Amino acid sequence: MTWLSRAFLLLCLACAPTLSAQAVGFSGSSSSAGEAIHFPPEKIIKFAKKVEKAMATKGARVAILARMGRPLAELPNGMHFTHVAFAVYSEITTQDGRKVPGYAIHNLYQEDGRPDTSSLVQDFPVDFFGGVAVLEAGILIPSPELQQRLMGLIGTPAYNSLHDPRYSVIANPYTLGRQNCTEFVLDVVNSAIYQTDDIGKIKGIEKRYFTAQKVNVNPFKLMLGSMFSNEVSLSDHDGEPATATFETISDYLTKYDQGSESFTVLPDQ
Amino acid sequence: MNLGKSNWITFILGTFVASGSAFADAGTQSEQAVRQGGLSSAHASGSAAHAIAASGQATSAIAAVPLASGGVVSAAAGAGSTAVAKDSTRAANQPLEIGDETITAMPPPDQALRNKADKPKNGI
Repeated sequence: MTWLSRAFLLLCLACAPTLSAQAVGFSGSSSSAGEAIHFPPEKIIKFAKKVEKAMATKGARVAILARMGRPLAELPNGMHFTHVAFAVYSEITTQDGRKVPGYAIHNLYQEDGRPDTSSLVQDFPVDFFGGVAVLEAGILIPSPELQQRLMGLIGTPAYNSLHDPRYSVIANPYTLGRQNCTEFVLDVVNSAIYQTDDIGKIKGIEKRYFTAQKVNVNPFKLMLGSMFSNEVSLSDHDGEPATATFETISDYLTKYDQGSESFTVLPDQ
Repeated sequence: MNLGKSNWITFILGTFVASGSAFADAGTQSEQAVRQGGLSSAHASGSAAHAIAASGQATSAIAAVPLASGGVVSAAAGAGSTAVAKDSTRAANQPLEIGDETITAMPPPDQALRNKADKPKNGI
């Protein structure tokens, strides 16, 4: 072994602990139970309530909600929000038996300790924003017709069947084998639009009509990330990696779902 | 600059250790910001969910059922039955009622203590 190959091997070994998805420049989809808090709870509670009221004022029965798990400066170009989920206007039963109206959030979260595996988890706005790095929310409200179809789908066996637990933070939305939160949301949206749970048909639709975001990360760094971080996989990518984002899903619905609306919510100054 | 073999290795490793430290800084600064915001260090080092639950400002929920407009829900093909509560008072796009109470998926402390393993990530 030459000194150069020894150096490369040592380099790889040295990188292993630091080459998480975060080092590659992404943030996965973790629940607030597994994330550190970056703001005082009262600030998060106030912001989460503002987001709820913004959706309610617009009459949104179902919305797509996005959060920033990392500061913008640490994300690759073209990425802004790091996790998306469905917010569904619901009748919530509290621990003491009262029934109150509010939004329940339907997420695909990475499992704690198993970053290459995800599960479907329902929580609430304050849990959703609990671990954010920046208090900024993206909200995408589909047309009333699409909201109604989504409401009929979310939480059903057909919805569950669209979930692939094999997680990659840069999952390719055009292929099967790996899935992240944005790809899952996109699959559910197209399942509702076309009223099918045939994933092969859904992928065909996405190849034809959906434009993914190119992953703007140095290929060498990406390759090392895929070697040393379980949550980064290139196995479902053929060529240049691309993934779904809140912005690309917003572009898709703005183009094809007349009456859909996208906006951001910031905290009060 | 002419570096020997061992110096090259030291340089490369040093570069990566430094880049790893840069990523760690974000968390440190955030924790510092939280402490400056008046939270105890115990909260700063715990998870977000636990910090919010410990604040005593959120109510735990045990169930959530979608509230459909007029109770009319069109099911997608292949979908099973959906539990949907009827909200016949408001049509689509009309402002919806939201209270000031904050709801969380975290169980209250007495229930969390009864659980063998506290798994708040599973929601409700």
